Amino acid sequence: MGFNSMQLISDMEALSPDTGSTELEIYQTLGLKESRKGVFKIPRVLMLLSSLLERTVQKNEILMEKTEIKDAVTIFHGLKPPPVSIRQYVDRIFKYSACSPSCFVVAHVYVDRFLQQTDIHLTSLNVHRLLITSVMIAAKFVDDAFFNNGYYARVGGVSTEELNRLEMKFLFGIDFRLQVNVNTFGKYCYRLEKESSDGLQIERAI
Amino acid sequence: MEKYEKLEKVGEGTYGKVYKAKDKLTGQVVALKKTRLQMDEEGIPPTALREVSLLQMLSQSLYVVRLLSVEHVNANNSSDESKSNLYLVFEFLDTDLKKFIDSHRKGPSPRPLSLSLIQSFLFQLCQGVAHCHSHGVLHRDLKPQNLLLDQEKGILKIADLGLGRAFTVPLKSYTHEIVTLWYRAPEVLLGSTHYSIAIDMWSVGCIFAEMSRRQALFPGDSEFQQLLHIFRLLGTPTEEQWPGVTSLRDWHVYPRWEPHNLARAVPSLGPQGVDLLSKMLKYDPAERISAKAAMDHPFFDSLDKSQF
Repeated sequence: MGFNSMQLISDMEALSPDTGSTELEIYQTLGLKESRKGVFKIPRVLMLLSSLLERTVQKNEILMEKTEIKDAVTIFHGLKPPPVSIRQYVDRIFKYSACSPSCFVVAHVYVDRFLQQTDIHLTSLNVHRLLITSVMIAAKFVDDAFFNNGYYARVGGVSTEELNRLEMKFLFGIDFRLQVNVNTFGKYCYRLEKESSDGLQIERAI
Repeated sequence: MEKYEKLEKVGEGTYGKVYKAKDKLTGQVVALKKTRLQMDEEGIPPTALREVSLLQMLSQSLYVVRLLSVEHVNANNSSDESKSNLYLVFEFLDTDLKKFIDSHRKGPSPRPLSLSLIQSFLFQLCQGVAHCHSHGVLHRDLKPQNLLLDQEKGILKIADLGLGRAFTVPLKSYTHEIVTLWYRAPEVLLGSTHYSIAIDMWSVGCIFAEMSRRQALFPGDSEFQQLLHIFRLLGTPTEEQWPGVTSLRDWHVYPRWEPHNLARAVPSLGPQGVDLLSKMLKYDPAERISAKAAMDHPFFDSLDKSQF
């Protein structure tokens, strides 16, 4: 870590008095500060995010089956679940998009904002399209170098026209609220870190 | 878009034409920034995406241009979704700081900007920049063209956040192809990819000096020339002044210039103004004054701050 990145961090801390060294520790353990130079390693945050989303989808589907509540069908819904698991899909996006690992945390915030705004539930029918759209938007917003929609469409297995429509719908859905402040970012990091204990317990129970 | 009557084309933005228009119902005059969405490989242009989301958040400040709404319309009322436009609707301001300075340098009655006007504009600029920074946003393209003026009320507003970005999340690295050359901070020119709010303050310093001189302080025409302009006035930076400077990526061995007296470059500013300017143009980014601290500088003591 060079001199200037240290300065950047001190500015981030200055922004929020609550942000201390524990925040920086969690960035490390989630793999948010790893550079791509050298050995290619999948940051831990991806595994945790996939696990969290998988459990949410399961929970929602059980709940919806019980209560016989049906979600409105949006352009994010497919007719049937895609054959790729959430975990495989997330890893694939990371592998080919070369975006900062932080984009996945930011994308998670966006998906929550979208779901709150539109009142739909995360299910296996919509989670993939929500993921590819939100990660792409996160990369366009926070990264300085990123691939275009056409490239993301090929990574995500949708057509460019479809991804363009999804992007527009998503942005208006969250009212273009793309900024994520230090506190919100930290909160989502902690939630993911917590997943490493919660998620494992579930796996053991099964 | 039938709501608006286009009055005239007033310019070309980073990503499309800008029109002066009138809201037919309320009579409000607005600026319409039109972005053509080819709906091709690029999707929504990243500059538009950043500008909308950042302005949406920052527009509560009087010193940031107000974004009134965003409208997505199909071109020529066709249902063909592949051809549509995104309109950003802004409040309309009649001029910008570049045109304003130009009108004081040439034209029928060349005259300097009064010190009280410089104080007022600089104070408002610092307020706007402090607002951006407190929301975790770097502007990264501050220059006179991007500062809009309401001449009648004497209000200055920051515009064009297409290059802006958040600094609230940890990231790989930052691009150094930002900020119009003349206002670009030395750490960026020297290839640093992890810069921060100090880069905006360097631009503020250059704009401050330009208001006094009525011409740019460092008018370089290449990255290398830009550095030489800076070094010739402020002296070639040393490790003592700026720890780490000689290990920056694009550092070379330069001629050793001694610093000149800054007051001679901006004679109209007076000792307090020169002192504030020197704090904005500190080589070491960690030592450069912040927008918030600048607002408390004695240079503004004679300014009636209650009006802001």
